[in-house]
Amino acid sequence: MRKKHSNASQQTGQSVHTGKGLISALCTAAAAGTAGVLAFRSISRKPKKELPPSPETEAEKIRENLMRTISHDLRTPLSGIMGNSLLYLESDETLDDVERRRLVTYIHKDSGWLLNIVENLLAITRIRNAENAIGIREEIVEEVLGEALQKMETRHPEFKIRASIPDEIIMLPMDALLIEQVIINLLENALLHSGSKEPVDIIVKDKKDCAAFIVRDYGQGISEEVLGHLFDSSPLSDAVSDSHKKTGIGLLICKAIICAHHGTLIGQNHSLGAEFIFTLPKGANNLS
Amino acid sequence: MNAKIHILLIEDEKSSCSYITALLGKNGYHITTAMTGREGLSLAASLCPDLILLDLDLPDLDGLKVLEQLRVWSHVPVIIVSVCNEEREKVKALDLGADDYVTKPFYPDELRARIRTALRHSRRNAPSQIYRALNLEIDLDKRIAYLAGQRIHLTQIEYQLLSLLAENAGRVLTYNAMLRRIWGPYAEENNQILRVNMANIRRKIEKNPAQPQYLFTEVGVGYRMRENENG
Repeated sequence: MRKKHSNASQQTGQSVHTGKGLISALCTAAAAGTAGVLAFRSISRKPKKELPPSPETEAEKIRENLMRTISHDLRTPLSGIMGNSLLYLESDETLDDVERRRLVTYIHKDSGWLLNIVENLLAITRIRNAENAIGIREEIVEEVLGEALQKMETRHPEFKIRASIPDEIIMLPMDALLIEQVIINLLENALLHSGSKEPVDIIVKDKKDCAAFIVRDYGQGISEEVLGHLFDSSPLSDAVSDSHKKTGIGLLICKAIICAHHGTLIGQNHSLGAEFIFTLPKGANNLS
Repeated sequence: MNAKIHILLIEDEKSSCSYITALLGKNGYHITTAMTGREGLSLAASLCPDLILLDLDLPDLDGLKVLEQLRVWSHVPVIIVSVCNEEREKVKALDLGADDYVTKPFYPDELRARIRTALRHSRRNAPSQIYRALNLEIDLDKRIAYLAGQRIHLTQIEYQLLSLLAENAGRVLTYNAMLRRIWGPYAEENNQILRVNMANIRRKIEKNPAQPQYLFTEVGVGYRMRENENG
């Protein structure tokens, strides 16, 4: 709770181009207390200083960027659903069972993707609505992690995840549903992009004034070109590989959520794959 | 009159109705659909269904109002089926007497499991005296719990919590409901003590508390224990 906002974005500066990245802009807007559609909640009161040049145009830019990302993200699975279902309806008689099944499987997969996007959109409204800190409570880490893993198990039963947490009970102030969303997004990101069937690790470490969550996969890693733009909005990520677009909004939202909690989020490669690490600061009563 | 279990579905979305009816029809349930809250209330009174699935977003009445009015005269199990995923909404519905809550879109198994559990709890006259699932066994008469045959050492409060959940296995219990049952009607609103106790129980019965097999958390709502296999 002691960390200042500006601190949090500096620590992740490597992957966010200040002024360009959507999320760093979001955070600046939030720090400046910009009222508007995208004013994100900040957990503790911060001194009002370092106002960006013109918050209103900044907020507008953010809104535009986000809307573009969202429309793009929604359109892709939607067109799949419309196309495949129309094809089914129009050529029902000429399709054999295998083809029919294939079409419906695509529809099912696309709708799962759509659900994921919608949940992320809901998360945005939650960040905003919780301005009054209604959603922030001391939560037991394993409960939040446990529920996220349970949801993953239902959605992707074939996807193996190993979780490891310290023996002691860790409590952190957070909006549990938002942090759950971060965990789910990072795990789904690993599932989609690691290109590996190896189980993914999620490891929680108890640090002095924060807890660190590490989502580590053992796949192909993140390519150099993507690495610099992990948390940027679509105008930049358009340049990178197509598969990256699929996560578009997911990683953006992760960043916004962690920012609103005054934590840090980074994505990097390790010797055997990729890992994302986020930290959440401990509450006042947990700090010795 | 046939012996099929009769479910009343109060839901105005046609595609949802079609999905749920097809899904449950396959499992041998008989479904009647009401498209409005008022129609639902009147059918609930005239048909006396075994269970009600209630959407909260109805054209004429708020689903919670329907639940409230229903609870004035009926104990029929009610499962809320709603697109709303807000914890506050869930807690409100559960505290108003709903038996469970399923968020749309849901997986077929999820709804089937909730229905099974709600029906089991409503039909049973005397609660089962043994809870058994995977490696866990709780003798509710003798007040002893075993994990893989080994007796688990629990504090008084821990045992009370565990047995409360076991008696309601498969069903979500809200923090408030648990606090009141264990610490009495004047229990503090603060649920921290409950949650720390739950974390301690988890450490005694779960292999990995982050990937539980018995005690599931519904963040912001409460806890749910794995279904009793001895049911």
